[in-house]
Amino acid sequence: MDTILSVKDLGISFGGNKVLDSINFEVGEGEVLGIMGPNGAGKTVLLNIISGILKADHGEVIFLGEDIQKAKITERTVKGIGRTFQVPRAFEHMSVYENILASVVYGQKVSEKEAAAKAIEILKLVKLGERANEPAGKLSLINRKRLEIGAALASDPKLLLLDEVAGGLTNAEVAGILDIVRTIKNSGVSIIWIEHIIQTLVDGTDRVMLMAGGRDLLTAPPMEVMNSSIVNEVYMGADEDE
Amino acid sequence: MKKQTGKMTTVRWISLAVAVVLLVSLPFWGGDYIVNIFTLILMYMAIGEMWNLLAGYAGLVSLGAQAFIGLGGYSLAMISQVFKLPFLLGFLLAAVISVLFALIISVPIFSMKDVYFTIGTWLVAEAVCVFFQSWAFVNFNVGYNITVARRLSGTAMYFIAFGVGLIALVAVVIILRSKFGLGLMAMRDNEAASEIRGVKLYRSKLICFLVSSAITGIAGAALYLNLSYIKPTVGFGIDWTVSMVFIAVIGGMGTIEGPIIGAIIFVILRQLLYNFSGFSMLILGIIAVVMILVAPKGIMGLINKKKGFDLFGVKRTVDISIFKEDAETAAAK
Repeated sequence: MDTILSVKDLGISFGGNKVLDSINFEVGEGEVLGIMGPNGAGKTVLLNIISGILKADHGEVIFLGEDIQKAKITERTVKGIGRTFQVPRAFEHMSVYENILASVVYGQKVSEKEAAAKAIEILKLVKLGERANEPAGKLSLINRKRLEIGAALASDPKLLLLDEVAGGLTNAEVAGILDIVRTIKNSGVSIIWIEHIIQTLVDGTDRVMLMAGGRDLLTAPPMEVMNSSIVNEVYMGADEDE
Repeated sequence: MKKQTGKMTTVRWISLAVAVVLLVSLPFWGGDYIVNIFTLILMYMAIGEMWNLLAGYAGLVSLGAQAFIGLGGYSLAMISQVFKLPFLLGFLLAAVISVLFALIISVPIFSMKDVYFTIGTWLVAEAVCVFFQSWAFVNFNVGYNITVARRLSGTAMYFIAFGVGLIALVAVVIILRSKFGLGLMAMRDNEAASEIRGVKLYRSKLICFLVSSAITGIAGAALYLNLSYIKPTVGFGIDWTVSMVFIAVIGGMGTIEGPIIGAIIFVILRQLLYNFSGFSMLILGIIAVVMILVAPKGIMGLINKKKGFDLFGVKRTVDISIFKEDAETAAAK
């Protein structure tokens, strides 16, 4: 499996507080890497650095063999990094279709005419076709999450960053999101998926990286991570044997 | 892929055609007073649309738009009074000078964010005013009588205002129906998200600033042709921007139709409050504040809440029957 993203010695501090401290990991082509960890572990900050919202104090972010640390947010999008946000950031007054259309037009640098067919394809994938002409601001949470994934897919990414797309959903809705993520993975897109819902990480990822206190503590297949004593230490604050 | 349903397109085109016919024929059936009122509405609509393009779409809340009104007015005054050239050239000069000035100030102004941008634009306009007051070339604080205005009939002035209003409206419609407009609407709704989707914020904002400045300059030339006198303290007075803010806020920011409604209300209120000149701005201010509290998205916001409204066809839609067919096919399998 070829490496699509390689993160080396990545670190960032906010006002003397080390939020990320020497993070190292790789993501292979078509691989889904799950990231878990308690609040404040630095998971979202990591995605913010990869997508260009934040600049790291040190380290490297190599995407498709190129250090992208100096690339602007829009350049990273066009290069092939798509992302969702924890709280969906839809274009509220635009329709669902316009949300996807705008994201395709700018993410792929194509005309509206060319973007239309791609937008319809995405709407079908995220199952929002019948709501295409509704204002995004009126969507329910599950549909907002679907739209968020659709908008992130609009740039035809090679790497998709998902930030708690299953958070706040019912079990049935989570299963629906899991289906969408599997379809995306099967199309060859690599995914980094931050999630608190353990079952989604077990069912939907190839490997899981456990983070806490700005460090990557363990990266292994999902069940291996879940069964590790480190998980207990991180979440319960104590060793399993104690 | 059709952009609108056929029925909506027909209704829209009929509405627009009726509006154009009524406006073009107005001087032939309306009295002088009505023609004068519509002359004002069209010019105020133009500057309201331009302020709205900046604040409502690009998120650039400017309190310095009066700089371009003044530059436009002075361009007209200099062309007609000093250089004795055909006054219509004043409109061309107004656009060119405004764009050049906008381009120059964009460098420092765009490095300021949010409220600092707002304050920065206001300070620039004040600085221009002070500079003009002490500049011999523009006759210091005395200003100019624009005598060509006296030779113009009310009908001629109306059609100039009509042209200016049309330029502003067509420019906004063309922008919003384009690929650039799609990015602008995304930026209006969520700047950070639009950037992550690939919209180049700086470039989009700069284009809006230049277009808005050029057309505000042209409108400034028309406004001072109508007023027939310009001096720095009036030409670069913040009252102009206050009017634009009122028009956009009352009508509804981030919509094309908002400033049209806002301009109609503004001009009518100004006429009704004509005999209370000392209080008119105060009353307009109170109305704007109440409107912000009751309907923060303006009248168009209220209309859009009840029923989607898109007179100029900037909304992109898709025929959702294709998704239903797909769902039915999948269910049958």
